[in-house]
Amino acid sequence: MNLLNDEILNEYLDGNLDEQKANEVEKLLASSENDRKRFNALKVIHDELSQIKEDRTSEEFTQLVISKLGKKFELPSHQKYFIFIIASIFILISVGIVAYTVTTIISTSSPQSESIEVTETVHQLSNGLIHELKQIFNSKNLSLIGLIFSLGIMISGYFFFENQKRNKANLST
Amino acid sequence: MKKLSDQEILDSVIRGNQADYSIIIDRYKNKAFSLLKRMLKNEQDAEETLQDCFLKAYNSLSNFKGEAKFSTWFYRIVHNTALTKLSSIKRKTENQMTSVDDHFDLKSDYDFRSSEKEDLSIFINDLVNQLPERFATVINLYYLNEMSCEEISDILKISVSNVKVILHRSRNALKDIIIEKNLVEELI
Repeated sequence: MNLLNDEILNEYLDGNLDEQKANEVEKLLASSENDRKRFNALKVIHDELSQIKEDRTSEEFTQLVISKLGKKFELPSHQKYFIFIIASIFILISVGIVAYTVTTIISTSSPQSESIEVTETVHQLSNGLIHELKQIFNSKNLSLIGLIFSLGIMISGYFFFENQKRNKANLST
Repeated sequence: MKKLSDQEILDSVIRGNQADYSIIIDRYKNKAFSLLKRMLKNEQDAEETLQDCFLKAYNSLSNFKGEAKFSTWFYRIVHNTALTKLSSIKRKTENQMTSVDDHFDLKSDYDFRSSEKEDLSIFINDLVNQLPERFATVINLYYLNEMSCEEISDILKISVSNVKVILHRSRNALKDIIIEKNLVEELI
């Protein structure tokens, strides 16, 4: 049985054996030409691998990566701009609905209301607001509003994904 | 002139000095490229993947807490990205086959004419390039990147003893070829 198996030779080469074991290995190496040959071959490989040269990337590699970093940075600002536009459209629609409702209430309220106390006016306005909202969101209009919102979401989604695609394409160039 | 540490450069990049990232790229690109070339066995794939690695690292800099060395963190990104690339180019089967227990045969058609050092380097390099992905990775990180078995274990997410098994098996395979070609006496 060979006492100096490859595992022990590798451990000896890496200096992982304690002093006693290392001395034993040295004695065995001195007494066996075959083991010495195996160890020498292993040492040649170790020394050669220690001097292995690194491969080199293309000359323009660093510049190419840096230029792509710039585009990565632009991505969030594009997205922010896009989200800002979509949010503004939805806010404008909501403000429009509220403004329309309030205008309708004011125009339908009686002229005597000027003499009524403020609390009554507020009460009347809130009642009117609920009434108008109920009218806007009745079963007939609800499906129409749903349709408009769905269309809005679909269009936003389309532009959002187009925007994403464009940014991806920019990155890959 | 004092050589800036990775952390100092990264701090500068995080503060907004984007151009300083080029120092990090220049510091790591060739070694990481060597690793990727041996993992992917294709120069063009290696360079494209390396670009992705630097972009990924840059975009994840906020996640780098400095608990590990930047090199360990970066090479983990490189290794994982290479594995993903290997899967995407339908070489997953080969990748899965290269576990610690798998066997591989190295052959070299290189015409070794003399015992000159230059020849031997080319010969060894040719053999290393033939090593299966996992074996080539360990050899690359250990010798070219001068990493310890513990660091390699951290990057590859395998035990230290498995790293040693892979390292020893790779060296043994190369050693057997040297013996087979009767080159030992000539080279010593």
